[in-house]
Amino acid sequence: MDLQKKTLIVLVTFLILAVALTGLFVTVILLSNYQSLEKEYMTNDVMRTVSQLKNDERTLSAIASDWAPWDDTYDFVSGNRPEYIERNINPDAFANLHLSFMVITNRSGGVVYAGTYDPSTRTIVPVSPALLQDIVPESPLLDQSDPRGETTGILMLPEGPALVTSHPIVRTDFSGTPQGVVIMGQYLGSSEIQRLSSRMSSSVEIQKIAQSDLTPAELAGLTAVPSVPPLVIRPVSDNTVAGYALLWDIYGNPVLTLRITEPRDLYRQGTSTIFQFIMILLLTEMLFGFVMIFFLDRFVLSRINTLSSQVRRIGTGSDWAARVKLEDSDELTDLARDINLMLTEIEKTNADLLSSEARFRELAEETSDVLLTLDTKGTAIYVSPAINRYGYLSEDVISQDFVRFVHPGDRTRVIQEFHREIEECTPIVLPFRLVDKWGYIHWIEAKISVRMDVFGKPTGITGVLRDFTDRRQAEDAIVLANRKLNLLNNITRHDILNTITALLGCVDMANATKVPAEREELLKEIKELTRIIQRQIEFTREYQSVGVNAPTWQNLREILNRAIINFAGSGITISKDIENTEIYADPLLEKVFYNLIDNAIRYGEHITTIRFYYQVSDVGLTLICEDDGVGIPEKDKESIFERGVGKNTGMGLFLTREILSITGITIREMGKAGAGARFEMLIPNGAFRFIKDRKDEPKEG
Amino acid sequence: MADRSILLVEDDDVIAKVAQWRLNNLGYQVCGRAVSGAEAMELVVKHKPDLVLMDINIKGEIDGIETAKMIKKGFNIPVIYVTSHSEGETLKRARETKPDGFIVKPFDDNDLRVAIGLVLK
Repeated sequence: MDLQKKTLIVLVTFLILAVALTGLFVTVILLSNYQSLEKEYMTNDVMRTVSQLKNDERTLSAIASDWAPWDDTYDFVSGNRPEYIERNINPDAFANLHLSFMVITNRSGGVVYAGTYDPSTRTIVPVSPALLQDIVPESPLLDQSDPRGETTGILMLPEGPALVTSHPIVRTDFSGTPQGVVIMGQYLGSSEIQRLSSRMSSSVEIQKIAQSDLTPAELAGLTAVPSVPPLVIRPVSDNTVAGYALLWDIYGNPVLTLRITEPRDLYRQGTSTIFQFIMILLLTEMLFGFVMIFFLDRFVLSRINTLSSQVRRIGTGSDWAARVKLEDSDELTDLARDINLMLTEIEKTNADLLSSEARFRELAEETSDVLLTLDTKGTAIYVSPAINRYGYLSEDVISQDFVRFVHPGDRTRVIQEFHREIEECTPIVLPFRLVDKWGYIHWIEAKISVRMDVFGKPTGITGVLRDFTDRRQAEDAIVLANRKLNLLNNITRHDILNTITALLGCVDMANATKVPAEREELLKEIKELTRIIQRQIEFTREYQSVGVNAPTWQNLREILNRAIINFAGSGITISKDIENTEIYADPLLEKVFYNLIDNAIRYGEHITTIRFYYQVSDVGLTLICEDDGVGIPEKDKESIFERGVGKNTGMGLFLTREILSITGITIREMGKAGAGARFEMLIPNGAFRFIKDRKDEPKEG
Repeated sequence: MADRSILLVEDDDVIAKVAQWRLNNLGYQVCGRAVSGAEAMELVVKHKPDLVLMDINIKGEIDGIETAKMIKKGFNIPVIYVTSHSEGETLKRARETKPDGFIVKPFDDNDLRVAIGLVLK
């Protein structure tokens, strides 16, 4: 993701978060304030409504205070002014004073007048019996203890709640013993409530507590402190808020709830204001963001992009001579100048590096040794062109498991040494045989050291491969010469001396005997012993030639043909099932096949067939010589290859094994006694090859 | 002298025949002939010879030197090596067994008489 996209994402995210957090903060704070304000207003309105009710109570009380401390009333209750009712109490008086009912009692509480105003008929009718039930001696309405006292409040009647007031009846100057009470009442009916609503500009309702929509908890809160009536203010919907206050009757019991509801204008105004504020904030921040992105892009990001693309182009094209360019003069142009300084250094270092690499590459490519780098799995990473002398291109070897180019007989050892080297990290010299593209074997001496990374962890090996085939062949020749010298020494000093010992003994015995037949037998034996000495000397000549000439690639069919032709008149069928194959062997290979056929014919007794064929396996090619003669007894299967064992010279199979061993070919007898002999010659991988119709001359490795 | 018995250990039939003929001529009795170390040990146990004439290169798993070691250690019977080796590793090994004598091939009656006489005198 480029810097422009990252900046844009960060900025937009920041703006969204800023608007969201600011909006949330403002909403919580302002809305809370608006709600508090709304509650305060509602509290005032509820208190004003309650106060208005109190005013009504006071007005009613004031009316009663005109009637109770009055001499006419006093006299009427005392029984002196019977016309009092007719002259003072009539429907107009009720209507003018907004009274619903009026009751006058005497001193003992007996009702001397009771009337209720029916506004529908504008007549005075009898009061309800329920009202009279509240006018009993223990009722506070009949309290006459204080001539100036009064009892005012709400009285719950079956027909509805009513404001009532009671004043003692005394003289106008408040003298005299109270002769009773004047009770006046005003029903809080729908018209009164409607009138109250009009005056308060709110919707006012009065409910009985049992019918109130307050919760029990709210109700309990309201009744907790009767002297200071608390209020409940709560929104009933998004558009309406309600305020509640409790009303108490003259007995001090909570009997009514006053409920006023008002539209939530203030709250709605608040939410509207918040929304407008957030929108303004959002638009402002968006504008700010766009402006900032525009200038950031113009002055920083696009210029960094320009600089980055120039640097990338230089890096991709390895054009270290190129330089970056940037307009204006600020920190970025300073950066461009620093980059150009760095490019100058890189250009110089790169030139030095190329020069150094060219020198080392020339050195690596010109050396006759093969330089090799392997990873920890043995896969070739680099090989110098000197590998071409073995018929491979560097590309043929690189990315290949290098051990596949190693002679099969050395692979296990090479792999073990490779892993040991990786573990122990000590430089080693490892000799092994390398098979070239044409199948030739080369002796290689590898000087190996471990490559490590900066943490000291092995990353592979580096090796210098030096061909020492010539030296190895010379060493082999010396070993062979020594072995042959010892053997020839043994033959001359041991075998021939042995035979001479026997020969001299036989001569002495012949001289000593006087029996002609015995002497003749001894002379025959002397002759035979002399021939043995002759054959031993002839063998030394044959054996002397083993290993004298270097091994060559020899066509198996041609060599067999040359050996077989010597036995053309033997009457034995000699077959060969051999592909066009070459094996790498001593030039005396023909002598091997000659000896095998000669032995088979000489000791096979009833032999009729000799067959040559081969089998291929993982370890190499097994060439088999099989006959149908008497075979070899189990106990003689190994000893027949020893020198001096056998019915003729005892040298044939010994010489055969010696010739084959020159190039690592082994021979063993695996036939079944009585069913024929079976000689198996194992030619290891790398020492044989199948050819098509090509007849190459034998080559040296 | 005719009561002295000699065990002949030699794998070559002709040489064994010649050696036996010479020993008889010298008045020794050849109590047996072995061609391998194992056979030699059997005959030593059987005949308890006075002397063993031991060829170094014999058939079998163990050569004459190893066989001589066992005879000298187990039976304390003198052993004379008969060999065509006059030097080298083989002779060195043979000398380490502290043999009672050496007869080098080819040998005649006199060689046998002197060597055996020195041991059995």
